[in-house]
Amino acid sequence: MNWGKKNQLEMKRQFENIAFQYMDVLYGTALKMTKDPIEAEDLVQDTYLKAYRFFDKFEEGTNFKAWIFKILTNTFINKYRKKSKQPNQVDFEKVEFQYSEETVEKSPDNIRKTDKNLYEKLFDDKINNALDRLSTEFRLVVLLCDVHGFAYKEIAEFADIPIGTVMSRLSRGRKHLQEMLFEYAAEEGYIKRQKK
Amino acid sequence: MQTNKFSIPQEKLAAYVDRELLEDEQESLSQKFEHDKSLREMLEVQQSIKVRVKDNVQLEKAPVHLRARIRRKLVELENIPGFVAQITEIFRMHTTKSLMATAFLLTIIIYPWFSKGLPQHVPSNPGITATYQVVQGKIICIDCEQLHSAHIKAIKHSNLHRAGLKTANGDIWEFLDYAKGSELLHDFSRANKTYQVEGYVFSNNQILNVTSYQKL
Repeated sequence: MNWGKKNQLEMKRQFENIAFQYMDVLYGTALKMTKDPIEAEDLVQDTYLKAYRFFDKFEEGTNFKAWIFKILTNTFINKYRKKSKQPNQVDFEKVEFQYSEETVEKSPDNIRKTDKNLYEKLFDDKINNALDRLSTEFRLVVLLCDVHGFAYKEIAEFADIPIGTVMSRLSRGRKHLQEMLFEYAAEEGYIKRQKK
Repeated sequence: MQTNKFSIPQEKLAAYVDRELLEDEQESLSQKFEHDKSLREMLEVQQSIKVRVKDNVQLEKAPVHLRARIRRKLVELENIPGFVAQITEIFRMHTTKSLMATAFLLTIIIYPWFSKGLPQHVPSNPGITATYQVVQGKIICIDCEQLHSAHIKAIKHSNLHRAGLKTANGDIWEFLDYAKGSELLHDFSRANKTYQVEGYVFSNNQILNVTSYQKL
């Protein structure tokens, strides 16, 4: 945005008008990413300070939401990379999901893993729990694509990864979600299960 | 790329759900789904999960204080001038205190340097020590003496040979080709005459840096 001789006060007012309307959605996403309210607040604050510092680079008329999400994602990834280099931190890439040793067989109602109705019966909290259990990389792309509706190209830019990686992470993320939701459905008694 | 049992890469299925494929790819997959019930079921599950995530993932609202906190940080960011401007402003507002603080800091920095005193002269090579020697003996030709002691008979003296001093106990002293030593080194007119030579010996050898000599 070319501010020319507009004073700082005007720029700050303009920034707050545009940027603060995304506060809730940024915080909610940051909380999903970090799973820690304090870290989420810090992440949002850092995002806003960076955005304000570079607000003069923002081109008026372009997508502000995508721009500020890119800053949020970048900031998160940089912080997360630093953390993952520290000892005693979990390397999320290596975390594998622990599935039950039980097998699921078709119930009398013919409920199968590929039955879309099965997933519609689950409560919201199960969906949220499953998403929270996804590893950071998968959770990030699922959030950006399915919750916020960003295109693959945008997500690739935000996370600085190739589009193929976005596709792969999204596909694997949804696959993990499906497995977890299927387990929840079994726990809820929507399907009959049997020990191996 | 992972493929499912229907030979459609999983990534393609996800991209189909998100309408991220090229138009002809999207169309080609649509036809496959139409004719294959199992494949269609898989697709529906992916779509169902996407919809459930979209509709049911709850994003928490930002706490009330966060907006105020960020606003405050933005104001702080605006009020931070450059480093030099800050220092100048501090000096302008608190001139006396600033001068005193600067003097104090300089004292702390400079004091250790001064407390060690002026630098001492250190010999360029502290490993070498010099001892003062006064030796008496006859001036001889070192080269001829050495050849003679090796029982070489056909010795032809040359002015290029080096003169030295042989003491009564048979020790031979050489002269360093420097200052007074140079005067003695190739002057064989003094040969077989008794001299007292004074000078410094460096390290553990018998080479004199001659400071004076006299005929006895």
